[in-house]
Amino acid sequence: MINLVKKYQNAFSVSGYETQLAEIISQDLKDVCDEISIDPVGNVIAYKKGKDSSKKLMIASHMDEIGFIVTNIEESGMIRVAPIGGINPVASCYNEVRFKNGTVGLLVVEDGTKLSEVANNKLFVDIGASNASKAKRKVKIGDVCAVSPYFKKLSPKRYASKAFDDRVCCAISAYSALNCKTPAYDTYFVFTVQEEVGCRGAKPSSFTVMPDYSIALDVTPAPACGNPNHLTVKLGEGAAIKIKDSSVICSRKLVDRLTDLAEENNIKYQYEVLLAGGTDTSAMQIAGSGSHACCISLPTRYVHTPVETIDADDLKACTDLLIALIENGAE
Amino acid sequence: MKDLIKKYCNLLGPSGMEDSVREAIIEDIKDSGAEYQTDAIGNLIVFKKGKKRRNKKVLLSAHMDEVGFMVKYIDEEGYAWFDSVGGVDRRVVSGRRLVFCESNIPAVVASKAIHMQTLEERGKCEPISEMHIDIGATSREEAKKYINIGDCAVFEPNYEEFGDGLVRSKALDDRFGCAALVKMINGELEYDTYFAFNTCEEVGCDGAKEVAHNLRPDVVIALEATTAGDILGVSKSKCACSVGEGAVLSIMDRSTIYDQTLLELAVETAKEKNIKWQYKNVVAGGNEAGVYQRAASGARVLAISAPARYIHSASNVLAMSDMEAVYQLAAAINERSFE
Amino acid sequence: MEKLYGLIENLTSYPGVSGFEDMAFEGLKEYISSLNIFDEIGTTSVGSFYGIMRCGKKDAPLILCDAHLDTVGFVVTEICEGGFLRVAPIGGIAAKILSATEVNIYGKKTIKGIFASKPPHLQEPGESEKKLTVADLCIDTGLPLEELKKIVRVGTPVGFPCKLQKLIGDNLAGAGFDDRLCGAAILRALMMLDKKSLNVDVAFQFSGNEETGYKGAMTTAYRLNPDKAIVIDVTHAFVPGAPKTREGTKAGNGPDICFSPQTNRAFTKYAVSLAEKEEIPYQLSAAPGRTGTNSNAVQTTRNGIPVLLVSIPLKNMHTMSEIVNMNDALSTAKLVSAVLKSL
Repeated sequence: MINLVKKYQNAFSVSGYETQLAEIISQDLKDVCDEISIDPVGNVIAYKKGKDSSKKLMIASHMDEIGFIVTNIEESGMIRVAPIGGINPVASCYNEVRFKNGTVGLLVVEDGTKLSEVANNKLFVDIGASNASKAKRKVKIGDVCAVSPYFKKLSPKRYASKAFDDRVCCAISAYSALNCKTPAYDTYFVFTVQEEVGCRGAKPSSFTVMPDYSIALDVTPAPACGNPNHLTVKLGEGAAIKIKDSSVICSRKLVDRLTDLAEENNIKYQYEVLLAGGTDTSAMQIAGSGSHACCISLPTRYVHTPVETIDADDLKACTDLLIALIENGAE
Repeated sequence: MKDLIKKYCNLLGPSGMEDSVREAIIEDIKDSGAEYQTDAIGNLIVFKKGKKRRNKKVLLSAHMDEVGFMVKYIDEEGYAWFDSVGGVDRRVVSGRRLVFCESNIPAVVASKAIHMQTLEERGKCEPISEMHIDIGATSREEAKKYINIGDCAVFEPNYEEFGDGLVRSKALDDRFGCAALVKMINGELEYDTYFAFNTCEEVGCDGAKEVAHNLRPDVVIALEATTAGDILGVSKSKCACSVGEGAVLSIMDRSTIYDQTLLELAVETAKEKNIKWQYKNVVAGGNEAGVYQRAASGARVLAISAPARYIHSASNVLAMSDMEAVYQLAAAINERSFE
Repeated sequence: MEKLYGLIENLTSYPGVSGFEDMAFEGLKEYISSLNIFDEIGTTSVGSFYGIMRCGKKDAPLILCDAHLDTVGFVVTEICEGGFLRVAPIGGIAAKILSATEVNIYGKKTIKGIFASKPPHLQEPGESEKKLTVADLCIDTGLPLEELKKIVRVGTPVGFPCKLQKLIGDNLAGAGFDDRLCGAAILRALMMLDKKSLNVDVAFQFSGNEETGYKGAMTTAYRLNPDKAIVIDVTHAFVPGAPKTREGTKAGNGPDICFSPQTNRAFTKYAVSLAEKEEIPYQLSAAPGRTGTNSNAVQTTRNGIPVLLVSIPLKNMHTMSEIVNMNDALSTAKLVSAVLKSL
């Protein structure tokens, strides 16, 4: 499982540029699925036939991560970038970044910027080029980059990495597809694109699938230090069953079903009420005539930083819970 | 006692308009053999003979009035602008249902919808002087058919039991005290005892002044509701007293340093009779005891209170067991001669 | 008027905080079936209830009447020592109206709670003038923690009890009028119709998730696939302190017909002329941007659905003491019924 996470985390997959990861996932799942397709926006839709084909279950995890796009290359060879998705500039700057073609650079802030003034419009990438023309040999306007892969085992149970949001959930979904018994319903493992810029991949893919039941897999902020400000989820306390976030109030039917499955199978769980932030759940809920939608969230510290931190027990709990739902259905 | 409390709580009686409460109390005690009289400003004074006489004149006191609202101005649109009668925190007023006394006209304290509040306004509560009462009238003329300047309203009657043995109502402060006294009057007394049901406590303990001058008691025991601080986010050191932990004995508040011997007697009695009690551990608030202590020639005073969450709001929350404890402790102390 | 009051009394009696509308389904199904209006009723996975009334004519167009079922409320975020609950709001609720007010907590069983308020002597000087958010408050359940945990979980919804109160001049105070009131007005309108004489089929959707993004309306409209739609919601009646532009909509002056890019102009004008002809009182309002109702969600469903937006003026919206003038609600029912009859 953790190797799957590592592999996906290593792939280049900034919002809008997910083809590399899409290819890897398609390869991984081609032997266990009845059909795999990549739709016009780039979502991977992996279909596994179930015992009862009158119902459809859709599982969505997003392949994309936040990153940066080149907007200008200055005379000096410094590269001005703009954010893609919800970048936290303080967390991102002075990290190594990597472009799709392998070029490596440093994300820096305009000289003389005070900490309180660090903002997305003051970010540059230094790739070591001494002037514009040298820089342009490696990078052009419109190229995208993300923080370079980083993976660390902090303790036997805790891992830190960039882009656990949402590669770890792609791994949960893929692992479930690889290891589950025959699903209860026709099940669609969907790996969506462009979640970080507004759940843009989930909309068309859920319209294609038209699910009866939908489960999003995503990370949710877990408090670490300071004032947690009413975050209900804690690291190490199990899979988080989402009650609501700012985009959705989850189907009570699914919340109750997941609760029962967790109880029956001795899977550690907790409830999540997230006051800010949205997920693919909403897009699936409103596809066509609508579906019962919920989200299994993985508690994660320092979301949208290069050191997102998760707990191995939570990871296992989320995976077990998802597999239990796939195999036993929602009713 | 529960039935009495419920009945009294659902009456409408802001300071200065306690008539309905007084009438109900008279109805309940008229067959008890006690003598009673209403004084010039509405206080009800009761004397009940006991099995024995004692040298000290002992008075038990509770107040009949509750906090409320009085209309100050009716505008052209038919809205009534008002202020509070007694101390009411602005934060417990907006959106509440009210009933006008005497006319029984229902009303709502209007609240500008959140959608129409500016960002600056959001989360802030306007002072009561900027709130208005809506009775459904569309013009001043129409409104004046039902209400007028000087009319009073109170929170709508809403007595209800909830949680684990708790009760909530707009006027448990101090109708439960009235109920406790009525229960004592209807029971057997060891000694001759005076009882007072006072007016206008909420606006400065006015009723108690007159009663004290009239009766000149030696010992006064005030039955009251007092602020409990056992709510989330309040530190233990500021908590004052806790709901469910028994009758509250005050050592000192803003109006009174209580009589030491009476206090010791109360503690001793509570222990002896196995009645749950607690000290009020902050110096805050005040009640009629302060007035009794210093009116006319003065008196020795004791306050026995029931802890109340959200006092002076539409939802005073008290424990039935605490109110019972207050009654039992007051009754037990009244069996003493106070020599 | 009596019938309308009965409808309001019934419809406001069910819980149904946004996202938790299914709590109202059972009661609604039973009650609405007993009215014998619809040929078919159902519920959806996104919290909507719907009913379809067929005129019996072949290929009759379907007209949708939408009101939303969900109400504002809260969801439990933390269960605390001493039997207190922390909650987050669902839909816009001003914190200033909450202190010492009662709520229903819809856990394994429904229990009462009271929003705690800090007594003045425990407040810092000037604290009551400061800004307050729902997160600053807590709900007192009066139950021991262990017992409370058996009834309530993180995610349990909390709402205002309705408590209807008749005021003078045909005014009515209550909670959840946004938008159960409009559901009642639609049902009242349908009760005025003789379905055999209609030229259209009529669908009623009591849609879920309005307060949190119009989701019930868009998905149920997608399912029902109507030809035209009338969205009925509440609108703010003028109260002192409201902006000047709100002065045009007053309680008691009739239903508010709204012009907006998010509604259909021709359909709207048609309704206005019909109101004139039938002598139904009405007032006009304009929403140059968003209407803040289901109108846009319905209008943009599938290939697009022409929408008429009619609103009932309401005071104190999103509080436990909303006030409606019943004459406005009845006129709304008459207008909706007149439109359906004329198509």
